[in-house]
Amino acid sequence: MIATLTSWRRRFWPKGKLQSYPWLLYPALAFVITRLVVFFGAYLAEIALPSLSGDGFWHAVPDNIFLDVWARWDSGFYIKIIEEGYLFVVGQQSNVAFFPLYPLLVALVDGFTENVVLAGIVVSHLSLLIALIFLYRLTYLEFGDHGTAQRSVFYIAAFPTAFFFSAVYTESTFLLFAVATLYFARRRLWAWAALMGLLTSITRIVGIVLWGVVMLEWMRVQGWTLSSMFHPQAWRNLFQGLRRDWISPVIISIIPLGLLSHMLFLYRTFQDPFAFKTVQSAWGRQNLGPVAIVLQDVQLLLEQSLLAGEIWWHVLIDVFALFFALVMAVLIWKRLGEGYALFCLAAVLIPATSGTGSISRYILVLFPIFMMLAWWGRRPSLDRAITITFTMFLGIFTAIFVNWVFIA
Amino acid sequence: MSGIKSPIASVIAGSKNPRIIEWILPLGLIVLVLAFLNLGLYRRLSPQPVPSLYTIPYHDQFDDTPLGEWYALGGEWELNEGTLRQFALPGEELGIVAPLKIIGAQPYRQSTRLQISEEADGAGLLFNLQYPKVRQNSHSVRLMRLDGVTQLITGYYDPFGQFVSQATVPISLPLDMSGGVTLSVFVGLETYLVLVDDQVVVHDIPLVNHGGWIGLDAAGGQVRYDDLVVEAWLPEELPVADTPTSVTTSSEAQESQSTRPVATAEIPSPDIGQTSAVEAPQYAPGSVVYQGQFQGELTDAGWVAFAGDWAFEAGSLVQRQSQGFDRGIGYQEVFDAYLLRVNLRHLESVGGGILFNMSDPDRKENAHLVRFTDDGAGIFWGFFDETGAFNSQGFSPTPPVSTAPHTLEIFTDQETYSIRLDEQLHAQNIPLNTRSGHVGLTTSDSAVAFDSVEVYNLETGQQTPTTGLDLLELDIISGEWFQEEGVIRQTVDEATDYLVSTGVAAEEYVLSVDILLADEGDVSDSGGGVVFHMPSPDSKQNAHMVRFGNAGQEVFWGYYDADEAFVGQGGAEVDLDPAVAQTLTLLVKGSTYKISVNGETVGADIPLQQETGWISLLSYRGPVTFSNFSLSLGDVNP
Repeated sequence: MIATLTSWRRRFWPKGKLQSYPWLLYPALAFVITRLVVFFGAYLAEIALPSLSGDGFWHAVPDNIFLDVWARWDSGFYIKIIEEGYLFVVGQQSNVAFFPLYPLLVALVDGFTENVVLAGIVVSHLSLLIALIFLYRLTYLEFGDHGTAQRSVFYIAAFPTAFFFSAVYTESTFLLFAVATLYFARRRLWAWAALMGLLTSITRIVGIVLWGVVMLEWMRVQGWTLSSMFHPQAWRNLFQGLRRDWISPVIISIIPLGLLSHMLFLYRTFQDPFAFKTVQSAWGRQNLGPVAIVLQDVQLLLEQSLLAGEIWWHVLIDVFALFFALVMAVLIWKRLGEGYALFCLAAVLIPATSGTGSISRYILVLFPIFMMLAWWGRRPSLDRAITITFTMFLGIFTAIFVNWVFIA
Repeated sequence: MSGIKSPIASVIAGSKNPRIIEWILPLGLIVLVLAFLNLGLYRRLSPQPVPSLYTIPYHDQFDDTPLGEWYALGGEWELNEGTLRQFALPGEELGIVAPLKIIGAQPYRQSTRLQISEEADGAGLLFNLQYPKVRQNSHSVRLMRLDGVTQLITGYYDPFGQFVSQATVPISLPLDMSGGVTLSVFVGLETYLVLVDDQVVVHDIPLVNHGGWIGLDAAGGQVRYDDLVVEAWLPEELPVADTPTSVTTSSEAQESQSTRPVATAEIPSPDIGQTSAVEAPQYAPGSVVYQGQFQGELTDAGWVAFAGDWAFEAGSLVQRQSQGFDRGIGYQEVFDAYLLRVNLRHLESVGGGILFNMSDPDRKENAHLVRFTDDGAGIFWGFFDETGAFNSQGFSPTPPVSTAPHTLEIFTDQETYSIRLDEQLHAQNIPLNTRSGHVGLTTSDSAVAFDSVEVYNLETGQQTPTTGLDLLELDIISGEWFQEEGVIRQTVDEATDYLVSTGVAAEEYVLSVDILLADEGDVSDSGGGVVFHMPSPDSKQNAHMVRFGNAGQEVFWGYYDADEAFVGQGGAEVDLDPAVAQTLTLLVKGSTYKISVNGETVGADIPLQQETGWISLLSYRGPVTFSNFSLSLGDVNP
């Protein structure tokens, strides 16, 4: 796919200034192509396929299908947060489960668009575009290969659940701040990494993981890693690093301030600083631990009939996504280091402690996975396989999503 | 980074002072982000203020209510046939809040007509909600069916949405409330009270949340609401006379627990709300007629346990089973017009109390009950009917109940009873269901030690009033009896005994009744009279009997043995006109009784087999008509 796009670019855009900025050109191409696909795919699916209707299947912008299709399921909670503020209804699914940065950004843009769904879509797409740029640059930084960087942005933008990047969801925003955090950390711009990490932590709860990841990266720079922690020299390196640069860990520790601010707000407003966790049970989530959760889901799937189609297919997809992420985390540890791997592990294991639901969406923002796939995609056959598989399922999943069938 | 430039690096490269770009700029942005976040959270994303669209007085018949302006706390709400209707799944707690907010300084009344379908768990009122879209920080009053019991549960939702019970009271309403019941709450400045069908059930419940939104509440199944009224409540419109002042403390609220008695009958209207500020009953304890000696064996001491683990321990009568409802024990003697004084201590949990006017010492049916509620919020009282279903007669809050000793006293005459706890009068003039009987003790979900049980004669200064037929609660044991205007008539003409219980058990009394025997058909052996000193209302074992026989040509008397076979003690021939009612008078005193017919003594000093018991009217072959019934209880003169 990349080769095809490159040849098109050379044919229609043989010489130009943008060619000097591949970190801008290829993310923009990936963005435009995949968004055109999902936008028109979603529109077509909405008008051509029978959609679920009735109570609970609402339409935020019924007179504009292009916009309306991107407000489904959890989008309603974000819209409610913006329109009515946070609500905490114990025992019921309430919007306090969702973090504030995305609604705040959408509310900001809504001041201009005067259409909250349009504002959400604008925020999501702007975030995605910038996130792809950062991902391109981070991938290039890690692998020193433009081809790998190009593939990484296309793979993530064409992932089967990548339609969430266009929806009134936090996927794009989270991806932007998470990948930017790692990018600045790898560039040893600790204050910028702290800023981005802070923003990530108020986008989703798993964003707080980046505090540890950035700190690990700083320690790695000093000569201490998890794998070398049993060597005295590693600790000597760490202490020397602390004497030399104690300010950086302090600034990195700013990252949790965003989450703490949110928790303080929840405490003052609802007397429960962990309200976002308290309401999880309303979504059927129980803290049983990932092993018990997976065993429970696998047992459930084994009791159903795959061949007869009597199966909870989204559970099947989520369980597959969980295993995929865990395997990839091991491979990422070997190639990209522990920081990336721990980010991936934590980002799937934290939600998996209470359920595998929506894991296929959660792995969408685990950009190290796409960096690794892009590295392996140097082999054209694998690149084609990934491209075809991803784009095909992206179309199918988009059609399912816009017709109010729950995917993730 | 060959061949590729970072945007930040580009900025850094263009800056004369990279330190600004690397540190100061991002740190400044962090400050801005935190400011943006906090400003946004508190000013943009905090719960938005909701306007109050309605004002009081507000009256809604639910004909064309714009429900779009209301706030549903889950569930589907719709207008249907002039009512507001919702469907809730079992276990669901639903609500809807009207866009009506009342300021904290405004006392108000909120009421609605509820039709609770048979499958629904309950329904009620929400009030003083601090925010119209959540239950947290609100009050709730709900009629609930829990384990087959209809109960009124009042309480509030704390900031975490947990319901905290303030009072749980069994209510004498049928389980099927689809016929409709009116639930009202009067919200004052510091307390509130609740009425069911215009009868005060609980009062002086402290308000935790002051002012707020009002709403409707439902739990499981279908409920209909109609006639929602919210209006100002003026202090002079208190639904109970003399607003209570001294008994105002509710217990430390605990999680909701239910008491188990079943409620089926309508609510009587006791003068609840009477406190120590009100005059005490006119009765004063007289001589002690029973004082419990809690030593030895239960049965030897005259106590009959029928549920629970009862034993004498260190001079107390103790029930140790802390799990289970309606544990009970009765004393074998029958009392009437007495003061029952019981000292008790809760050893584990709360739920101790007393039974009185029991028809039998070994069962709760037909007994009156007064006990502490399971949640320790107060005491409640009522009676068990013949099926064992509990009929609530009232509730009164008490200070927090602990393991400290309490003195519970019942004053009961022939018509009403009064309740005193720790020398504080909680209720008086409560109608009696059964006028005399055994006394007993009870516990529910608690272990309780009863340190003393004493029964005193009441010194009323006069003989208890004469009782007429209309004042009795007659209970048909056999035959077909019809009562109207002081006359009762048995119509079955089969040649056998038919009984109707007067509902009175007594020891000494004068009974007089006019009896008109059958005057048509085969009347040669018709008869009518009285059975007395029955061990229970429906048992003739060892009971005495006196009646006319042979169409009024004779009167005879005797008793029934253990097999209910009649054993004669005597008889006399009387030549009476069968077409005219004859007066039969029975005087029971000490160990003998005397019989008179039309004022002439026909039998005297007839020995009694038992000292006390229930009284019934007897018809042998109908129709037999009884009229001018009178019963004078107490110390009688021959």
